[in-house]
Amino acid sequence: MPSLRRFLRRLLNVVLPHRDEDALSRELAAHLALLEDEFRRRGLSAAEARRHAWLALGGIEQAKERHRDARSFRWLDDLRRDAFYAIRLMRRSPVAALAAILSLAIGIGLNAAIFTVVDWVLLRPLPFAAPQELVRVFTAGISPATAPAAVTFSELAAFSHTNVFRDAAGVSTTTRVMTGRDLDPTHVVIARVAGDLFSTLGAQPAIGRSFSRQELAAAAPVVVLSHAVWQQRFGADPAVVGRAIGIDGSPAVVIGVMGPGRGYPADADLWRPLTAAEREDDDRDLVVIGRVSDHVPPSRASAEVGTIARAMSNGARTAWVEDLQRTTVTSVSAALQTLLAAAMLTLVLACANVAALVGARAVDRAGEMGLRGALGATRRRVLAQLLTESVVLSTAGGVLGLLLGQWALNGLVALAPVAIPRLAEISLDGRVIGIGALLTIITGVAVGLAPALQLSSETLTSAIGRTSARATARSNGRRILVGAQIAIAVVLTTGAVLLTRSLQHLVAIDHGFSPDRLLSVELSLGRGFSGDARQLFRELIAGAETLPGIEAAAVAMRLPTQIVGVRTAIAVVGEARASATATLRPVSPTYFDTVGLRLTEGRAFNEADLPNRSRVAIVNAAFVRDILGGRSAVGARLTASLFDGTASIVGVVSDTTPGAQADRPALYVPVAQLGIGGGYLIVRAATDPDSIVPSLKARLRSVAPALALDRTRRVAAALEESRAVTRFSTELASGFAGLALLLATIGVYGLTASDVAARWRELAVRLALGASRSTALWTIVRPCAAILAAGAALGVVGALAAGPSLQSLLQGVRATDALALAVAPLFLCAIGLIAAILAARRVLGANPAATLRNG
Amino acid sequence: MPPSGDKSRVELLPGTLELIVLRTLTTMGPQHAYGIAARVEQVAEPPFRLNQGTLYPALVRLEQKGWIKGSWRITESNREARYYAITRAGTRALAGEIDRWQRSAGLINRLLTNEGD
Repeated sequence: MPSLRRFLRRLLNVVLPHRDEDALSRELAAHLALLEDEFRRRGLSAAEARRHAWLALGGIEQAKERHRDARSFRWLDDLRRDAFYAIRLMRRSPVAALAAILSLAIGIGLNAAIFTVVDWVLLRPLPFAAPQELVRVFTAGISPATAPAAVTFSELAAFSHTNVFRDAAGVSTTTRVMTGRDLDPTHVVIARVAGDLFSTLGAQPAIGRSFSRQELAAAAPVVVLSHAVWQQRFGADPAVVGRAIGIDGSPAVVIGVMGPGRGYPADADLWRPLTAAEREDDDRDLVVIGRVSDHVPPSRASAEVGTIARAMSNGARTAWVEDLQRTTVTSVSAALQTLLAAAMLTLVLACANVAALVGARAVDRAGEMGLRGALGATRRRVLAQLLTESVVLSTAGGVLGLLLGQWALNGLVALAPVAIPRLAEISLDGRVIGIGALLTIITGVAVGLAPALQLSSETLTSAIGRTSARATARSNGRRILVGAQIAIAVVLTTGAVLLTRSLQHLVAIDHGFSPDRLLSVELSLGRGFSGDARQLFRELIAGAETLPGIEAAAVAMRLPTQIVGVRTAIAVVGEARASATATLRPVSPTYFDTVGLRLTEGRAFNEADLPNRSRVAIVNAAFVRDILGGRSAVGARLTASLFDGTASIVGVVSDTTPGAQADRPALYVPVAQLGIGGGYLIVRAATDPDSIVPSLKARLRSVAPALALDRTRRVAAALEESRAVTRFSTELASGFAGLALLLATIGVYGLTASDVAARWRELAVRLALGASRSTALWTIVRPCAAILAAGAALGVVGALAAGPSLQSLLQGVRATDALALAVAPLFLCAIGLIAAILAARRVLGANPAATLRNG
Repeated sequence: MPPSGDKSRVELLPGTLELIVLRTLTTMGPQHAYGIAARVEQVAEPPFRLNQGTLYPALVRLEQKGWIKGSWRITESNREARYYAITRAGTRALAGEIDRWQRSAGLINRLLTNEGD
């Protein structure tokens, strides 16, 4: 107990170091007085008595030091004192301290926030067991060579028997309508499974069970639900297993529910075994996933499936495997790599800044350290002091970084495209924070400790005398750092400007039709539908048109945003040319008015274009240009592989160019003359389209109760989705560019300030000898201007070199865009010059005579 | 330790000073630091001069352990001084400390005697 009691007392004295000081002084004074009394009584003079008293006590200060050592923890007390000293130093030069803290915070926090989002959106490992073992099998024709394609059922069966795969399964998706008791008819993406997909992935249902071997073999009518569908359509009912549902009218039983974010493909709503008929069809539409056996390299798996595919096709087709993770992110890998590079560059910038700022302070303090050494401070003690200062700085930067990072992450998540998986779980990436903190803090500590490491070889005079010489040498190093910073910032800012221009271009695009206030309702009549589709379409249009708030309504097989569709071979009657192909677009008569496509020639369809009348067609401008060679279309007749007889062209409409894509030759035909099993009801609202959704759905439900109406959305939303990746990349790139700009500005300011500090005396002499203020200002700013120009030039070269990697993200703007290449360097140079002038003005404001006296 | 030119000054073995202070306070009652130092120098045989500043760490340690307690009083010569008195915990601890010292001193003595043969 006494030792614990003593420990606590000592701790208390660390916190309150002055608590006993007064009492101690008083006690020692009393002790001396008693000694003096004694010596005087022995007959010594007053002065002699005082001297002997001092000797007997062994020195007041020494006694006090011994007392302090015993009553407190010396090292802890030193630490406390150093920390307070560090804070005092920071308050003496708040700008430099703030700049260093900010650089650390950016390096640690903001960078981590941006990286976390990139990582989360684009780089998350697949949510399956041992994802590195999973591969996807591709096939392609050898001669003629064709693009990578999916796999047929018979190929899958052959691949499954090799020993390179422990497990293999195929899956193909299609859209169907799900019905059931207490369920609104709903579109669902069905994944049809061949082989044991779930055990191949190592992802089993969270509720219920997976397909049994027998169920897979017999194509039993059983389904596994995705977590999202279970929540949205079944109210997260835990007793959902065993429930009967209908899929396009056929009954099926729910046997399991997957966990959130599990299952493959990610957009599947439910899984069911591939039916016998689908196996018979042997369509090339299976995405085949294999789990390679232990110690089998992908190259061997590729060779094996390639051999099998060639054997099956008499050498016409080959096959190979690719890492599943990589195939799921290929579409965005260019953007991913660009942004990762940007994150690395930002971190480099932050480290460079910390090094420059802490280094500047170290140079300023070489004299102080020399003095301390001369006064008897041990090297260890000085190291401890500098280390404490670095840690205080880093802690401030780290805390600020975490705050900034969390705040930025929330902002970024709000900006992100809707499809961030497991959004609720997203949090700052600990590893990224760790790496950022480690790099910046190590940089800061290493640079900060340099003067202490030099101390051993220093003598007082050399340390103080050489300060200015070393400052010049150091500042050359710092200039290179700042030049590099400018170059990096130019590269990043140029990228951001390019992406911004691309985005502006996308927003200002002419889609060819007018997407405002357009609402589309996907219509899937499905196999269960037995009535007259044409009659149903007429009733749906009539029902929608008579609703208040709706200006027009039409039915079409494809939306005007979908250029790709059903292709048909056509031949123009009386022309010798070989047949061409066009996209077949069945539409109702009101379609062109509803979506806002301009009729440039002839007439639109009307109610008289009925099945029993002569076939009519309308072509688009691309058709006239590419197939008719620009000659007049109206009156021409043509045949098509997808319908019988000949059709007369009665009109020409303008092209539809969603997202500035070029339209293809298209053949519009009346839905009345060509039956379709589904499509879209398109309505144009008088005001906000979202506000009429409930009344529209109610009206359509009364017309056709069995119709699934869940895919009702604004047409403009589809256009926005197509530029979501560009928009998000732009936002992230702008974020990095902003950080780079901030760091480069801090760097330039820091460079100028320390340059000025090193040349303070020289400037003062110049001013004292009558140099004008503007001359002196120029003397300071000139080297900065040179660095800015050199860095900017280097940056432009870098931006040109990085251009190709960015081009895939750009639309309507070239990577070598002159404006973008000019904006960033000019802006940075301007910022840099302002920073330099601000720093220089501080010196010039001082009195030169005072500078010379004190400097 | 600062170097001292005074050869007659003796540094005590570490830890012994605390024992000496406790013992002095038991036999003489409450004493100030000078009084303790004077007593030590007086009983020493042959006489030696203590570096009186070295008393202070020992006093702090004892006080922090709760074995002695200091209070300000006026001396006979009408000067103020801080008097230390042994506490009850200190009295209890002294017995153990003495026992510990005698055992280690006895061991050292025996070793030195045997070595001397």
